[in-house]
Amino acid sequence: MDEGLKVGYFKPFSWSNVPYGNIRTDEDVLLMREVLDIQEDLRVISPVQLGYYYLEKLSAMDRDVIFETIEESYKKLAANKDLIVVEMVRDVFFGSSVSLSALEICKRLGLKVLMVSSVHTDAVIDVTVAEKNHISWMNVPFLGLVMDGVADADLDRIKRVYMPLLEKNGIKVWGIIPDKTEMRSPTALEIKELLNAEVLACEDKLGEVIVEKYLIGAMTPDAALKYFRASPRKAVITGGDRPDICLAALETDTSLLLLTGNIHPSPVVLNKAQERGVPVILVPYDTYTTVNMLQDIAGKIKYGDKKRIKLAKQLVEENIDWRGLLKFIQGA
Amino acid sequence: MAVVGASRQEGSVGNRILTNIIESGFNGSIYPINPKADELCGLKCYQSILEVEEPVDLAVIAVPAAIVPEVARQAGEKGVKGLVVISAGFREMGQEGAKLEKDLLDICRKYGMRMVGPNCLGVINTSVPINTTFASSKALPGRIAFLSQSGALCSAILDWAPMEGIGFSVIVSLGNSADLNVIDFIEALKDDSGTHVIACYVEGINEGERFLKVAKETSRVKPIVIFKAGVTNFGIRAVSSHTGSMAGSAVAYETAFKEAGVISVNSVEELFDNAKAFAYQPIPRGRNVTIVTNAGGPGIVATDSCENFGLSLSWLSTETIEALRAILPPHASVINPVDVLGDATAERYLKVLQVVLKDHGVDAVVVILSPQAVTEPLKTAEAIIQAHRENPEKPVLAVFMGGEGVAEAVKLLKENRIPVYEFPEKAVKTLRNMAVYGEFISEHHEEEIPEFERDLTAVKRIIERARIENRTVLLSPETKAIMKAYGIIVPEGGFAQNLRQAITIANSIGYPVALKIVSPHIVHKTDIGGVALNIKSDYELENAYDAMMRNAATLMPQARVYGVEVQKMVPPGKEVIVGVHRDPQFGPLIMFGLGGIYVNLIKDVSFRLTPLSKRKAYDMIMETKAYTLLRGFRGEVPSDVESVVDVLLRVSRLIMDFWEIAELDINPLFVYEKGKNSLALDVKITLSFKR
Repeated sequence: MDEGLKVGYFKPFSWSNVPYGNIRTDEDVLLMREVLDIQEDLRVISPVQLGYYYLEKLSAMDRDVIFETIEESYKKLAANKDLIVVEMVRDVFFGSSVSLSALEICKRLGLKVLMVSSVHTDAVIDVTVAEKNHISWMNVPFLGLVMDGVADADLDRIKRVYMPLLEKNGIKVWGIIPDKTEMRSPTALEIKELLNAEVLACEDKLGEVIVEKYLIGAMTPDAALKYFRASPRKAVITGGDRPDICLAALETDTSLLLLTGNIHPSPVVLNKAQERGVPVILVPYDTYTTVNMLQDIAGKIKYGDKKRIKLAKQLVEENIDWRGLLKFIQGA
Repeated sequence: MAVVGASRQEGSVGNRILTNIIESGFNGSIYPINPKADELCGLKCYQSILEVEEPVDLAVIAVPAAIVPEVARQAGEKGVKGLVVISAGFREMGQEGAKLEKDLLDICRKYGMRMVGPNCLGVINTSVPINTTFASSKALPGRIAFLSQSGALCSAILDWAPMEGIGFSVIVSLGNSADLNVIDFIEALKDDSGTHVIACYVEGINEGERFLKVAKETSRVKPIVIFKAGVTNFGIRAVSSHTGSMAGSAVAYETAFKEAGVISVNSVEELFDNAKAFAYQPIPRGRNVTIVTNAGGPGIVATDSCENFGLSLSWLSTETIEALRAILPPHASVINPVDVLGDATAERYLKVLQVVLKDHGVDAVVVILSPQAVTEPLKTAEAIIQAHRENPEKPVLAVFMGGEGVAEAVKLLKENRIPVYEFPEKAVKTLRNMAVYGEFISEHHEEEIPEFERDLTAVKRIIERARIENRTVLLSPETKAIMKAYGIIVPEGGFAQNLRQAITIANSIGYPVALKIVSPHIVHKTDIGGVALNIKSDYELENAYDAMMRNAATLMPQARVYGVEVQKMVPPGKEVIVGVHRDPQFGPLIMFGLGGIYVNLIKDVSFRLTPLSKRKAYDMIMETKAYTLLRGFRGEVPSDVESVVDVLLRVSRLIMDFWEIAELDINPLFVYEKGKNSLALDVKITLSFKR
């Protein structure tokens, strides 16, 4: 888009649907609709909704009808676009048993395949090569691979072992996007919103700090310090009746103090939090309930998350040869 | 002196302070400040401090919190040097109060004024004399300085002390200690000639390292007795919500007090049991106590107490025994405890005391009296006073058991500065503290902190890398590298990112080797099969490596595996632990103890604060049972204790060089036979990037 291209987005099968207004749809769909400012109806952007046991639904439907629906949506979305990103589910084999695999859709719509992989083990490399071979055999144009979420610890193995193998098998790697905790971890503000918590200190800091880990503070104060020191950028979950735990948490690298049970802490504890710039929030639930609620914060970009969208763009810009990729798409 | 907020209304704080100042006999000028009055208690009253024509040195402020900063500013303009802020409503009340307190402190700093409080009872100095408190009781003059972080405790003590005949040189209610804190007062009282002992009630100390320095220097001049409250788990909770600062651990306080020569007590009662003895009795030259009693039972109780508290019963000289035999009836005990028998008169007490106090083997005397048929409590008290006057260089502590029968005698003893207790244990425990203090002042001398060659850059690099990667727990290969950089011996080996490298390392150091998984996300390596021992060949190494990778992938799929550590298998040694915990108040606390699987059961550990000198390192080893083991238990060959001292000193150096190291554990440290060194087998280091 920044290059002056008109870019579209299409996801034939939506996955892990969330309610949105009166319909259910994929979070990715909501996100991309916002990022690319697509005016089309959600049911056009993603016409077929699927879930974990998707085959029952797909086999019960008429294959031709599904194809026609997909094609119709695609045409609407692709009109007046220079480029359209079509997101598929899982891998190229998805839907093979009902003759609706990604590759069959690609053939029908005339698409080129770019693989994105975030798991980096020997087995996945083998499967990637096999998929590439399958794509060639099906005569679908193949663009290459982008590696996502790569940890520093894996980089050595990827460069030394995997890259030469992928190249040998004709797979061009366009870029390696490093794993960034900022992409995965929620901000204190997101936690506050999810729990609908009351803010007791440092409200202004909520949006700035990232929570990488949750620790429950229920130990003796002496033990707490050692335990808290081992985990940076954490949220400490404890009761307002544990000033000792709160102070130990404030003594270490803590992003958020999450107090449960609706017990207000002593004012001097809040003073200290204010001094140290650590936000404090309070919820009425017990610790167990709170932790369960926190499980719902998945490490995904949600629509409306401007900060992470910006970071994602930056990561792509810095780590992917996207100009080369674009040229390759236009040329191939 | 100005009293801002002075009032006419009886029973009000402002009124009480003004009358207390007047009644204390303060001989300087007093300026009451109150915009609504022209005259108070016969003194001219001013609208504001700025209206006073003469210079003002001290302002006592008792106005609502919100206007305290403005009053302080006016005091600053007036050139006042000191403030005593009685008003409450500051930090203890929440964030707005905290802001107010900060503003107040800023004003003090700006004008160069020093402040006591806010939120305090006030200050008393009986030699000036001045009493700026709003307490309703008066302090008797005396030699004890009392510093208290609790205002309520201050007023209770003020009320109780005259009854006990306890007098004070100075009383300070510290309040929120926004400016002047307990350390400042200890430092100031060091040179106060009217103060012979400093007694403190403390909930928390915020500048631990400064405290240690000041207390050490002061202890050499006069004793400091501290009652530290809030040491249990629930007590710490209570202190936390009261003071809002992270309490140092109880063991850190204990260690700091010991190193600074501070006498640490466990109750308010004990605080004054000790303070009154230190204030009026000389420090004993040694631990040899003679007990003089008119009753067998209490004598035995006192004897047991001596042994329990680490004092000895003096061996009386032949001359003393002969002399006692001449004084006492034939069936009296002339060896320690000296039993003067139930029919002892005051005269018999006097003669016996005169004899035992002359004996060079006697460092202190505990005199016990139980009221019996012919006992003369009052006259005996006089006898004790006389005997002590004749031999003022040795401490005499009295135990007068009973109630009404001895009340008058007890009063006389108190008036004549002989500490008197209801039961023997308290007297003996006090005497023990005096003896320990005596040893501190006679033995204490600064020692050299040894220097070592070390590779600072290597450690810096490791810490920097962890900081960039957002890790606080260092990986085993990193901790080993840090040990090596500080000359602490670790098993041969290295870090391998893959199997090929692991095999290369194993072959260069030679089999058998141990293999350990390296991942910041796997803390308990053994739980997921991340440790393999005694690997004897390439083939076994490959099997172990595969199993380890498989285990990690299935049991902890989220964990990032950096690789493996290959380590030469070493022969077993005596297992000990060396640990460091950076205390939030007192800084690095070094621990030494017995290692192995029973560590948590036996808890055979000792602590010292950094820096360690060679002697401190030796002392901490010798304090433990592990030392008996290292020295060679039941015919075993002695272990290399010197090498353990060396490790302790090097760890102390490391922890002082790098403030980022928050926790360190060498567990186990294998100690080999004398001359064969020791080896850090497993080392854990946690960093903290918060200063």
